Amino acid sequence: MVWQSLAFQVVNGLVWSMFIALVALGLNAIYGLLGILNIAHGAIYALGAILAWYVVSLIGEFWIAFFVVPIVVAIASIPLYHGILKHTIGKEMIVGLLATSGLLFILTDAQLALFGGAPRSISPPVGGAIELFGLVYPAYRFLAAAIAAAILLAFWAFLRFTSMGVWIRCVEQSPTLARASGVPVGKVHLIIVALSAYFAALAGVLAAPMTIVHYQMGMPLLGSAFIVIVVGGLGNLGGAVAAAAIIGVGRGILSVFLSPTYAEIAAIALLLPILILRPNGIFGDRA
Amino acid sequence: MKGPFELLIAFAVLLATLAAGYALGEYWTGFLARSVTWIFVAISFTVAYAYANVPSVAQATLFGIGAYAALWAAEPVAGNLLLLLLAGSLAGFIAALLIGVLVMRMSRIGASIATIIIAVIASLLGNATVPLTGGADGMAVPRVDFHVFGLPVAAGPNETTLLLGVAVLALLLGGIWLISQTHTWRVIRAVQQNSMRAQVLGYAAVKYRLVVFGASGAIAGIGGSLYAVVSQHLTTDLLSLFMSLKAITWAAVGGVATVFGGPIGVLLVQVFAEVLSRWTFRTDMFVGALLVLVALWLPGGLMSLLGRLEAIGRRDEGTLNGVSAVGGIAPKPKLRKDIK
Repeated sequence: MVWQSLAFQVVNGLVWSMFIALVALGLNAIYGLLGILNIAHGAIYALGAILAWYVVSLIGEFWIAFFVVPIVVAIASIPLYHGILKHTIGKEMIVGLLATSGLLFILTDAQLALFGGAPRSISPPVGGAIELFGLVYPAYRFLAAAIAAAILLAFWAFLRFTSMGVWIRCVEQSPTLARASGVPVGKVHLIIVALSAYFAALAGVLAAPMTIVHYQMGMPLLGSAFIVIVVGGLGNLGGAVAAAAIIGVGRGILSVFLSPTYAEIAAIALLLPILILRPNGIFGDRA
Repeated sequence: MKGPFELLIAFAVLLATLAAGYALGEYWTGFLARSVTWIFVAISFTVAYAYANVPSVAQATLFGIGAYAALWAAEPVAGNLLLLLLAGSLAGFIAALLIGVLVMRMSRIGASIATIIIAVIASLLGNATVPLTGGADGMAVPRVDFHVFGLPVAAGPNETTLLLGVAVLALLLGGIWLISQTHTWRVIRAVQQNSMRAQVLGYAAVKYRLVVFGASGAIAGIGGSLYAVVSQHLTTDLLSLFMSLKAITWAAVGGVATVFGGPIGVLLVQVFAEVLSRWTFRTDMFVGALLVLVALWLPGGLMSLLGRLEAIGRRDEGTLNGVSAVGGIAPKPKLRKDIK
């Protein structure tokens, strides 16, 4: 019985780690390229889930929300980049922190004003369950995790095999050299901001049928995402995915023996000694 | 730290706060008494950020730890406020030292994220240990007879606690200014500006940064213990990441280059939000907009305006002597007839 529960929690941990990785990916990319700690990133995740709830309530079709909401949020991030984020690049860390904290306050309060404080829920668009090695697991969760994993893989291929991907990697290594070589650094920054908003909103849409939709749902996930990027190594996208899997599975295993909150605390606390031994994260040196 | 001018401004702000608290009636007295306790957490962030080189996002967590330490200590020390402040500052100091050991070797950004992790853990832990903290519903501070130097102090948001908060804050700011005149402070500045160079010169850079970060925790802890006396009811919201972000914004609005910006930052943001709340529930949205504006147009905070005024003053002075303040020859002033 314990083994079955353990297997369930491991699978559940892996599923959630895909969403954490998707959120952390955008956070990491914005830090890696723009040097900004985007505190408002969790609010964008919540925005994705809230807009998905509206679309499902009004139209009744989840997959429209899946395709439309992340694109709308990515487009909405463009004026935010031009109006705010662009002006904080290259400045003291506190300036970016202050600007994105301001954005967090604005977005969270706007979501509270429009959506209200009551938690809502969305029914999974795919019902039923899948049996795997004697383990019964909701089919939608598998599907959502597979979509998230496919997006992560697609982003890796985008970075690796497209000219824009090469530009992004150039800007990450040295914006000055990239600019001197003719890379449109401003355009790269804009694309990264839009992509990270897209990823966060997509994670919100995918997670909405699996959790409670609430205007503050981004804050706990933001904590996990920050943990993932610091443990994985700042600016290291592969490291972030690996760290997300470690933390997701670790939390799952621990939740068999501890209450969910203590399992979360223990999973995070277990990673702290890693930071003492390797202050720049497990994969930090390669970043 | 610049001359006593900034200290005098901070003292003037505190005196004005005290006067406003007495003049504006019971509601504003309570509001200002609470706000004064927040000033400690803003100052603690500035100390951690500007002098220990740790952009900590867990200063409100240290404030909360100080507050809970005071709550737990209230009965054992029979309401002795000096011992309560000592308990709060000690709890904040020890917690900051533990965090400091973890983050000292990290880059600034790594340290910042590590403190975010710690704030998240503390918040989760606070909510999980309901018998100790009261969780999100909170826990009342024991009803004991608070006293200081044999004088009774009525707990709660009132004139006495406002006076107490302002007095402790004035002592703290004065103490920081006195320390800033010493050789040790110059070493701290040297370590903050270039810890590698300070290390090569023979100073134990990490040790200095650790002690300064510990001191920032002690300052937050003092504020927390005062908050416990003023508020009389604590919730785990105090430990949250959101609260720490507020502390950063208060400090940044005042100016993170100097500890004397804290009082101005807290009072400006809090009074702004309070006045706005008379017309709208959406105060956070306006505070957010204020923060964005400060980040874009006044990134050095309000105290940086002083520096600009000083620079203008120096330039004018230099120009009068025909020599610019930076040492070069000042451009010849334009005559009225040249301006067409």
